[in-house]
Amino acid sequence: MHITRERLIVYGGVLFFALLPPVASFFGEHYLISLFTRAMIYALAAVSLDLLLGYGKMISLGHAAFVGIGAYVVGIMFFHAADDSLLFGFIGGSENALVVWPAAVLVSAMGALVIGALSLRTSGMHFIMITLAFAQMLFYFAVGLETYGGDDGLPMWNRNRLAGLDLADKLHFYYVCFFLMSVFIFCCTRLVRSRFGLVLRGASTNTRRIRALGVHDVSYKLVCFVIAGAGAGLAGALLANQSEFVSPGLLHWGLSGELMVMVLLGGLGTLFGPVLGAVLFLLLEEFLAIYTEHWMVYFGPVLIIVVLTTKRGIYGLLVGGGGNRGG
Amino acid sequence: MGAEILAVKRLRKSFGAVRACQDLSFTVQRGVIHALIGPNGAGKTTVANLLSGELRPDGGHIIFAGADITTLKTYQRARIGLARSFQITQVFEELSVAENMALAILANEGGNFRFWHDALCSPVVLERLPLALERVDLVAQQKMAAKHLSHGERRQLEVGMALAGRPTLLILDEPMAGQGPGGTRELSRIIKDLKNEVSILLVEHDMQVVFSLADHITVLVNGACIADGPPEAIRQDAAVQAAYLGRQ
Ligand SMILES: Nc1ncnc2c1ncn2[C@@H]1O[C@H](COP(=O)(O)OP(=O)(O)OP(=O)(O)O)[C@@H](O)[C@H]1O
Ligand SMILES: [Mg+2]
Repeated sequence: MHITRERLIVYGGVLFFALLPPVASFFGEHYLISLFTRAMIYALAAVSLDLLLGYGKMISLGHAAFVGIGAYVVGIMFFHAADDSLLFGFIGGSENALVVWPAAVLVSAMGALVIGALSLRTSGMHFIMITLAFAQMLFYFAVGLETYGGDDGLPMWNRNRLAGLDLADKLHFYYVCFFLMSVFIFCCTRLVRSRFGLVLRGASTNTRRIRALGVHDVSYKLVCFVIAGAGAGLAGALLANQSEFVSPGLLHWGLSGELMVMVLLGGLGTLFGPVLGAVLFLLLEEFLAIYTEHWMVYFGPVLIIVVLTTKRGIYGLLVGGGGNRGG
Repeated sequence: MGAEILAVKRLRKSFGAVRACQDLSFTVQRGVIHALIGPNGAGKTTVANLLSGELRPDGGHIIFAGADITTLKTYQRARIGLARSFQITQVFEELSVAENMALAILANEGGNFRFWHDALCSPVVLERLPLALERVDLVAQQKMAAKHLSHGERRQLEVGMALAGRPTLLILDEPMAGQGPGGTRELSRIIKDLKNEVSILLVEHDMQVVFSLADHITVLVNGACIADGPPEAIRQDAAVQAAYLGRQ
């Protein structure tokens, strides 16, 4: 098999993530395991956003909405399991990951279907504003959810249960996140090269032509929006478990912006780039924050330079020739 | 279904005070090359846009293969066999030539909500792509991004993509636009080869090309039809000579 630079980097990345826990444990740096768990969860969300930004050319500033929905599904189900009450009077709570996580994905996807269907009636600047508006609406809705902690958020006393594993265990949870992130990215690499992906990329580069060829471009964009929302929902479910806490902050546009930064920094339209972006973002946040709480002041210029001087972010630089668009 | 593939009935379209299309009626027979000619700004592209559905007419009807398609959307018209090329090249710049053509083949097939298998390896593409590329002479360039093609090659891709969906009526809006003599010859040959396969509405400026290719000509001036008939008749038509040929 021909080993391209891109393959090398991807295999290297997989190896890195797979070996990080034992190496970190060996050196006694256990906190790295949770740091990278968080990085992988953010990466999952950022990759899903890359589907929107890089492949669908849909500039959404409300992607956190779906992360938040996913997280709240987990939190609310936990809440009702804990005090043995019913949601809407008929849905029982659950702590079982095999129930709650798919539910989080499903509800996020349904949310994306509704928000996407309405937002895609517009385009360009209006699309950006309307996705932002929906996310902020959900944010304030969550703030108003007094039953579930409102402003203060909703604590979970323990993580979800997953048969045969102990998610409270750092290592178990790390590898579950690693597995889910990898599966999601692999599916995305297939997706962007599939018939759907090709039509989507066409629809996002030239609307006039794709319509003249017989394609209703909006349906393809909507399906992309729903898939991205589902991915973000999964990330939200994992994030809720990671921090054992759910709060309106997860729906805030600040998170949408951070995810967008991860995508741009790592490499727009590369799928693997956003993983790099997420890791770098969290590392910088972690270590620059030691020196100054205004770490964004230093990070901002770095981001601007990367975006202005590279075509496909840091991933594009590493791969050379601008990186992969799936073709 | 008669011998007509397309009937345009009293079609009207204005842009503010500009009457780009005034009560225009004509029919295109199956299996012919029907040319639509006229001086700059006569309304030819407007007619093409009205036929493809990009513009809504202010009045009138468009009958395609026996059905009234006046209210159908662009993609719906394309699905039932009405394809077009654009005067200003509209290709997928960032995609490769092969991807452009594969997309044109797949778009009309439907069933594109398939998320797993590589699009370029789907059976329809494997079956039809080589021929589709060969027909417009782009086999050697298939791996190149469309934006890196020469102007002439882009025009060939433009026409090739309109053809790839196996339309019954092909509207070509000035396919030779901006071509040198070599490119014009190449495209003329391609269009001639198509004659038995598909009916063609050829919007064209270059009179020599029109008279060498067309079976029937409609002449448009200021959005209105001033003459309609076989090439010999048009060549001798006094009104056409005054309004159009005289200016050449
Ligand atoms: N979208 C538009 N808005 C306003 N006016 C338009 C629009 N499109 C075309 N027109 C006007 O309508 C008239 C016909 O234009 P059209 O492009 O159809 O001509 P054409 O015959 O294709 O010309 P050419 O030979 O230059 O391609 C022109 O006067 C043009 O300025
Ligand atoms: Mg024109």
